[in-house]
Amino acid sequence: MDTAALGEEQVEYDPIYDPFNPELIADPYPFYERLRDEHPVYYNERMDFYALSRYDDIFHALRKPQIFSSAQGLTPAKDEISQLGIPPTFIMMDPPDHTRLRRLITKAFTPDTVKELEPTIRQFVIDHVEAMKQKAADGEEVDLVKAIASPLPTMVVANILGVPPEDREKFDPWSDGITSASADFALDIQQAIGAVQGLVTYFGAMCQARRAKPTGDMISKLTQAEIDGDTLTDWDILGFCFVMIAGGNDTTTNLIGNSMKFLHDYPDQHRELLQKPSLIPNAIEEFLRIESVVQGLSRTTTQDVEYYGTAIPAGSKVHNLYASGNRDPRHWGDNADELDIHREIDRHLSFAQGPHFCIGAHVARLMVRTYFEEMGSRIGESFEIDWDRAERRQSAFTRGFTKIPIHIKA
Amino acid sequence: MIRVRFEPSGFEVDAEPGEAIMDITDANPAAEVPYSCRAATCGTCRVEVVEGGEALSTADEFELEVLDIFGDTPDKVRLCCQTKLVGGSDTQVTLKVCED
Repeated sequence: MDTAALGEEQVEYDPIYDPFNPELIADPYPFYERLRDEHPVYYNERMDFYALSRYDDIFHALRKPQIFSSAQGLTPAKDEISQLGIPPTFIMMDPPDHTRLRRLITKAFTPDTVKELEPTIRQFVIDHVEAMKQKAADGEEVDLVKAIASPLPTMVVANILGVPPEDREKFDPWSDGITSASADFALDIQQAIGAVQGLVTYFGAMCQARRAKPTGDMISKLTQAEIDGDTLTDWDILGFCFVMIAGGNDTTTNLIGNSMKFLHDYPDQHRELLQKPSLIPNAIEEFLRIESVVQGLSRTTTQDVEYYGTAIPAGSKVHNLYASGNRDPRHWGDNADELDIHREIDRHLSFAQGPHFCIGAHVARLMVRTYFEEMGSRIGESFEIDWDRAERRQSAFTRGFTKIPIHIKA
Repeated sequence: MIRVRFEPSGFEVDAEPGEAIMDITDANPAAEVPYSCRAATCGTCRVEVVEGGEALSTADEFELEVLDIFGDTPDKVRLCCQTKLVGGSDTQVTLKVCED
């Protein structure tokens, strides 16, 4: 049993699968391979949850909310909703309640609506790529995460919610706090609670302001929305804000960072992408597949189910390892661990499947496509990243980088 | 020619057999059909078939699975992202956006 000090306690990690095991956080893929091959349904006794790791099992579980419910939260912890004190969010509901709430914001995320964001996103990317080049020319060290990968989704989420530019720097500590991980869930929860409190205070005040004087932003629209004749409370609206911040902020940051690492590891494919930008959309799907930013999310069984002779009782947390399913050779073939920007991708798991399919998927794709188009045309191959000094995000549930030192050549 | 009407927007358009409903709604935002995944997974684009179901393609296993989540059957409800017009001239198809 692996152990780590936590204050004066010793945490004993499950050696087969424990999302908080630092060894797994450093490189989860050998663990996932073993799970798929030897323990396709695995029971983690320490935290009392089951893990699914094969593509087909996860795919079908996510598409059966009648059996795999989201209403008890999305992490392996059994009481995360009460511990966090979070507002009711539609990602922690099942149809039909989930459907009614999700519909209120669907219009903000259709491809047509997202297209309207493109000029704003492109100008932002151009400005920040040029600012990076200027910094580099001035001899300053540039961190790709701070310079563009983090500010880009923050700007977009803030734009959709209607947060003024001067308040946008508050977002990152909130999303970090909600998704961060350390040696034990108990420690994480303290950071998460602080983040949720900050978010609730800020957006609570914003709800009040928008009720008094509506603008065209999403929060104003939500204050005026009705479901079955009832308007949403501030607490309901805070649930939407929680989803936007937790789900939309550092996920795109991580996707950009992860993509850059793979392009470093596969320089021929990077060159091909630069020469043929029309390959970018499929390459983004491959980046999403090969390194799922969200490594997995949990559901709770509403009835007894059985996998490979293992019974999972009703009321159990089941953690669906998207990142493992996305590399399952049973679905993707023998080269599942390899980047292939030409791969024909039917349905990867990185945006989930079923009614909880990521509502911001089109926005994320647009941001990353614009990033690669402008980086390609303005910097091309004229950069080097010091991967030895890059820092990985320490999280049990998300995968990405918090620092990527980049040297841009003149 | 197939006349397709969307409710509650009231938008109507003429279309040809073989056209995908989602191509029609892409080209005509006034149809006001919400959608998200475009891949038979989220169910956001569910529409009630008010009339003209015989002019719509058959639902595949992925669509049937999503419809089942919501307690729907393909004779009454379809996913716009999976459905094509398949035939019949001078046919009227009316699709109503599901409310929940």
